[in-house]
Amino acid sequence: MSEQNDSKDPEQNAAHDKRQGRFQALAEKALNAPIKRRSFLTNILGMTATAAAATVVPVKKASAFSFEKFFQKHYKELTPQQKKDVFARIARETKQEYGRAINLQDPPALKGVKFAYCLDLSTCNGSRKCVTACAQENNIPAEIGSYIKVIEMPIGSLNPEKGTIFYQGKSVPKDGKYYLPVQCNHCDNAPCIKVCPVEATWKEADGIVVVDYDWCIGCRYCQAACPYEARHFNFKKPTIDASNMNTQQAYLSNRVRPKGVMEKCTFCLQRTRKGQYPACLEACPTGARKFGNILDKDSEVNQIFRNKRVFVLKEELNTMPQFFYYFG
Amino acid sequence: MKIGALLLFFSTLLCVSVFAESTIEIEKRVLAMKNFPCMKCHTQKDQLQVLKKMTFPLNKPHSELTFKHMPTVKNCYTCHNKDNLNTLHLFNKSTISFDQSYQLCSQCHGEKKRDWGLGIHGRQMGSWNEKKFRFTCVSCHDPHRPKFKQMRADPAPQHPNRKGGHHE
Repeated sequence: MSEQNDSKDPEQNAAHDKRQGRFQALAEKALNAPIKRRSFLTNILGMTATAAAATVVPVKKASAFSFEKFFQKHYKELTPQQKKDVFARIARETKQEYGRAINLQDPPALKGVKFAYCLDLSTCNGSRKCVTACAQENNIPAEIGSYIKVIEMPIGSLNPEKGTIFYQGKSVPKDGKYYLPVQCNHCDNAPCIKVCPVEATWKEADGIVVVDYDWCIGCRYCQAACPYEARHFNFKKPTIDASNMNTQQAYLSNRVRPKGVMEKCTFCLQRTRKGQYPACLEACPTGARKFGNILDKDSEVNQIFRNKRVFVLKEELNTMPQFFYYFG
Repeated sequence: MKIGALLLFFSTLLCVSVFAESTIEIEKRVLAMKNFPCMKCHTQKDQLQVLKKMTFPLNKPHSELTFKHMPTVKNCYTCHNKDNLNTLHLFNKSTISFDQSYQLCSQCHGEKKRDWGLGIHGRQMGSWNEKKFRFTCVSCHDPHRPKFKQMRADPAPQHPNRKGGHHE
């Protein structure tokens, strides 16, 4: 496969200014090359892709099944050129489906960074602003709601079963209650990663647990394994308000998910890997949320570790969460 | 010669980058205050005399102002500077600008001031690895009634059994 890619790139570069010549050359190459099962199919795919790009094809409805997607490799095995093609396909499909031009990126994990999140439970007032901001930033359909659940808990208890996430709040915080927001804990010893039969989910170098939506088979093992109910399943095609869509998207994060795959909080990696804070943090009206690089001794999270008593949820499960709570 | 110029360039670059990394911009309160400068109205001597004996509610435009900070504090001039209302003053009689109002708060709330200085308490905007914009105490807490106001929560997630989630 790699041999073929190497031979394909210089040829494409040479024929870049002459699109017709390029198409012909590709066609010839496909016909002349000794026929292997794999190269035959990929050559045909390459031809159709370049043909679609070269000539302006009238917009068709994006079909549920596409050859490109079917033969797409695992994210970690994609070459830069293949990544480019995949991103172009996703952008094209989103344009066809929702009529929005998206900026699909793939920011790499930053070196020397390990993300951690801290949340001050004595400051959180349960206003659910983070919940709304999360849904907006990550293009989450109404069926899923949000990656964040805010549990209203009676003061004096840390048992989530005593709380409710369905509280209505005309004026929060209520007397005798405190609020426990729960989202993906980005565990260092994540049960969801262990159970995945196809390795469609993994932990990145900067500590973010991500899902390759195109590799996920939708078995929902990870949903069953996660003790924090952080994973969500697309039972049907997500209903997204196209006019309200966030067009700054990333492949591993907030791009529009297909039907039948898992999705989860990614610490807004489309934002955080570019230096921004996550959307939930910026939306928080009380400043209860703190995010940063735990390896940087001047960061807020590192200072919280030095000065406060932090705890994690369900410590006894040895999941080693990177989402910490403290009373400020 | 060339090397020297290059060295100078990189050293300035380093200085700038180090400076940029450690820069935390603190919110300027003066820009956010509605009636600033105060001396726009509070100029006349007699008016200052009137201000000495205050009763709530105050006159316009401070009529909505209520004081629920400390039950024992009744005097505005515990914090506001009587002689120059554009400024505040600390217990040690030193005068500070409204931009440094956190110093005033820290006289009692020292622990919170420490946390705020470390970025643990309070809101911050900007970038987690570069420039940060830090809000002051009074951008969230009204100094006259500092308890965080109750607010309306965003809609609850839909309950799987009851559509609309009619709880309570």
